[in-house]
Amino acid sequence: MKTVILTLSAMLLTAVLTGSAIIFFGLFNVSARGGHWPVVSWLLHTSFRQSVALRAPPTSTVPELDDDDLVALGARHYQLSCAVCHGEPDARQPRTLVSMLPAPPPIKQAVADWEPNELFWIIKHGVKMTGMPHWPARERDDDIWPVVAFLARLSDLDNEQYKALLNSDDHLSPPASLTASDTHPAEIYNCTLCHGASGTTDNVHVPRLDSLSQEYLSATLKAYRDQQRSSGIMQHAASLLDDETIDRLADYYASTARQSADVLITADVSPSDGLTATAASMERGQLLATGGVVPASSDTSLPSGAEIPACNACHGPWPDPLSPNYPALASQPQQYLLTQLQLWKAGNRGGTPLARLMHKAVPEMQYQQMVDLSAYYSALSSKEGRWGNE
Amino acid sequence: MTTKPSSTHKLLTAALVLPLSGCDGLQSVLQPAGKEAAEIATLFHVLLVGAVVLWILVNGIFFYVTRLNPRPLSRRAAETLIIGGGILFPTIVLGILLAWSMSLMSSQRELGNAPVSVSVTGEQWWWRVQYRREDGSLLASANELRLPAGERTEVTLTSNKVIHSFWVPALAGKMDMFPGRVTRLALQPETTGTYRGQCAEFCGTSHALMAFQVVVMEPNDFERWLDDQAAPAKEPEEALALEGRQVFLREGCGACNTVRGTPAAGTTGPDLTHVGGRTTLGAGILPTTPDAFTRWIQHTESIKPDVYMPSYEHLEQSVLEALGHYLKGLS
Repeated sequence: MKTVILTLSAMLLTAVLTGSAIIFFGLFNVSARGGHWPVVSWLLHTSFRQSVALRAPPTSTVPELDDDDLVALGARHYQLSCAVCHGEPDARQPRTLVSMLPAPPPIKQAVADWEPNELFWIIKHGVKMTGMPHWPARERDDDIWPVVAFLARLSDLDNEQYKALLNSDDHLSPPASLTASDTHPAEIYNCTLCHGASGTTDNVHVPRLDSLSQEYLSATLKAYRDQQRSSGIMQHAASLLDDETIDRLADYYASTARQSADVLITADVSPSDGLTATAASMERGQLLATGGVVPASSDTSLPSGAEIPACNACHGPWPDPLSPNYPALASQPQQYLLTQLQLWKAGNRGGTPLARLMHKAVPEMQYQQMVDLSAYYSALSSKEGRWGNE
Repeated sequence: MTTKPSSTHKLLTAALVLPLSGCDGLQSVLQPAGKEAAEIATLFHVLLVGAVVLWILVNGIFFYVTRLNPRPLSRRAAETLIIGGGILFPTIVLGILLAWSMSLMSSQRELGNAPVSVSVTGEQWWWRVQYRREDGSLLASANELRLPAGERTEVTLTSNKVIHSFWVPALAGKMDMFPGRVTRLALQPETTGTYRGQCAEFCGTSHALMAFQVVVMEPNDFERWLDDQAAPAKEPEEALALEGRQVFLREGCGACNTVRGTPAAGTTGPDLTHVGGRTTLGAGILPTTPDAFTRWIQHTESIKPDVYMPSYEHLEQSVLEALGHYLKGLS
């Protein structure tokens, strides 16, 4: 017995000494050149696969991904934050990045073996010791699915189709007022890629900026940059902006309203996104938004809304000038509004310093009421709900 | 060197002083100003005097038989004392009291017959008040109840979220308010004046800050007051108040509050059309001075913990002062 213990102790001591020597004398070679030993490679890769398979959310949590707007938003975010490592589809990757260990695989190869739920997990949590970062925002799963939707469609896309996906109507011509200034072109591109040069877009997941005030846009960009408002997409886009650039961007987008107002009023802005916006729903939305109480009907499952402050006193339409610190909601996409309301209710949206006011307004709101309100506001022409009394 | 009062001393002072605050008549069952409260007070006084007399009697007999004249009683005398004093006498006395107090109940529950009826809803933590006039018109108010003296006004009670209890000690007994149910009460104040009511059922963080004033007026004055209340809000004239009006409409106050005559038509909070003319602010906790309005709007959540209204501490002091002036002017 004594011999056994002595032998084991001697072995343990030798192991500790050897290990310490390797670490403290710098014997282990951390050079990325030459790659891993096959056995290490196998160990790392198998651990990675098994870990993702164990932790990925069930497939039942995957939303409908076959949505062109979702795919387009995902593609644009991919272009801004992922393509730097994984490259554009069917395009070359920079030599330096390919020299990483492990080298970020070209995107088509990277996603080939994964299911959407697994891709979701990888994007959300990142992968240790590979350089794959986790999603920058907490509790914004809805923010990640556009990227998954894009990746799920990737196998059908060649580089040209990918480029077409990035090209919204007018974003390729950055406004002269901005390019003339010393704003870095990349910063304008960060905005116009999704929001368009005029602040308007047909994408139902992306808010329009032309109806928002300079004050609100500026405060919101700062909130994203300073991690006060949660969104992996927007926090990335705003992360490098300094105050001056933010103010200039806010100035620009706030001023687009006057240029495009006429177009907007004549444009047919009935909700055009997959959501069903029935006349009854919009009517209920109008009542709620203007402080009315939905009369009790035979359908008792509909709450009356007596507990919900009137939205229009801050968000319009309102006959008197409203504070520019509140966003006007008229003609925002229904899907975008619905998502934001759900985030408010869940309590993890964040926002400008005034977000605390909104947290008081939504706790009693039911899902159907959010649908109704979104339907109403998305159908309003932007002139009606504009901030101020212009 | 001054000596600090000891904690026992402080407690003693508090114990002596606190009950006295109940005696100023504002909120006292001992100074009834209404029919119900008067009946209850009479009942209480009779019971009190009776209890004192009985206490002296019982202890007197006890003292007599144990100290003054200790001797064995005959069986007959003992039985008479036990059956008479222990069974018959209490049965008769309690029977009379029961019959009398039961007979009071019907008058306590009597329906109101005044031309105006009131409904009060318990909110977190304030009182939503609505007057219904003879012609069926409705009038919204909050945290203050005005009643005509000498008339019996019907009050219907309900609640929004949790159980509250409506109690104006100087006027009547208390009545609980339940979400989803309507209870009722009638108030018949006899003496004009201002009384205080208080939520008498623990209802959450700011339960203690949920009070209201009852102003009892001559019937003619009351009618005139109702007519004034029915009118839309006064347009401000001073520059400061005009600015306050702009601020009110710009910062979203109308989302929750109504000021008739302006676009502000929110109903989740109190109607403010005539808030400046009320006796208190914030459900009986602040005076209605411009400064109090300013302070209330700026620090709502620290003055009344967990209240739904958010503090508007982000507004500049000058803006808040303008708001305070505007609201005080809404009389």
